[in-house]
Amino acid sequence: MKYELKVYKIENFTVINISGKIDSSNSEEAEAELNLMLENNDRYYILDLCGLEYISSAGLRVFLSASKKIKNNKGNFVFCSVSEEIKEVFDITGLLHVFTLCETLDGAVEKIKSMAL
Amino acid sequence: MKSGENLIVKIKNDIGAIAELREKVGAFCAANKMPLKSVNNVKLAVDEILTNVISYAFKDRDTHEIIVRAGLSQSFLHIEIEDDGWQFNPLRLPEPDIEKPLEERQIGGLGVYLVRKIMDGVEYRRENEKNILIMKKNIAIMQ
Repeated sequence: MKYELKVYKIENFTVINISGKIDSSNSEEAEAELNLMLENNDRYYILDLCGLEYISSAGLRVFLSASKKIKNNKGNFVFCSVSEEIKEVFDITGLLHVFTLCETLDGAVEKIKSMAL
Repeated sequence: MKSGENLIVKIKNDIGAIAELREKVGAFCAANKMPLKSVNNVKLAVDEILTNVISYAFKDRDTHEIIVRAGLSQSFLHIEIEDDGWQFNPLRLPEPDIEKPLEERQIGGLGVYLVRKIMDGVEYRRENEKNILIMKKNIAIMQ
């Protein structure tokens, strides 16, 4: 079971690309790794899920934990490029309406700009 | 379950063993021409139940065997998960409050909640000191 987190910048915003599969076997590791990436003094983040193939309820913990951390720091974040399969998991668990999802990375950059104003 | 078109996989009570089992069940569903969305639902449901069983049904540190059987009837895929752990009915876990503000969300119980939503039936029974959980998914082509 493998996942990968890559971090880079677009116009001063931190983009974290999350790919692979996240389930009960690796969610704690992914959570710790992502939380570490959120400790860079930025307040606004884009979580790009274009390469995320699979997530179980254990994997949702990773996003709930990241969300708490970002909000505690008075920041905000958006997701982009979320597959239909993962959208369904967000939807059933009531997360679709509390998270902000953008279709594309470009759209996410525009959205996060408006949030950071 | 009819014989001849069944899948039987045995795994140990190891969280790390779930991924391979999930793929085997997915391949069985795909080979039986189930639509991709249903295949993905079944993989997720199997993962969620096994995660619960492996996390909560065994109170010792011994190795246990969990048997997963998949089979097709006329319009349903049936999945049966059998373990020899303590009596543990995941269907009795409290339902999560999915309306709660994000900050107050608990992760526990979400998995079984997902299973109830994506499958077309889930039942539990205790038999011969085994936990047996049966799920079914409608395989009739939906419009």
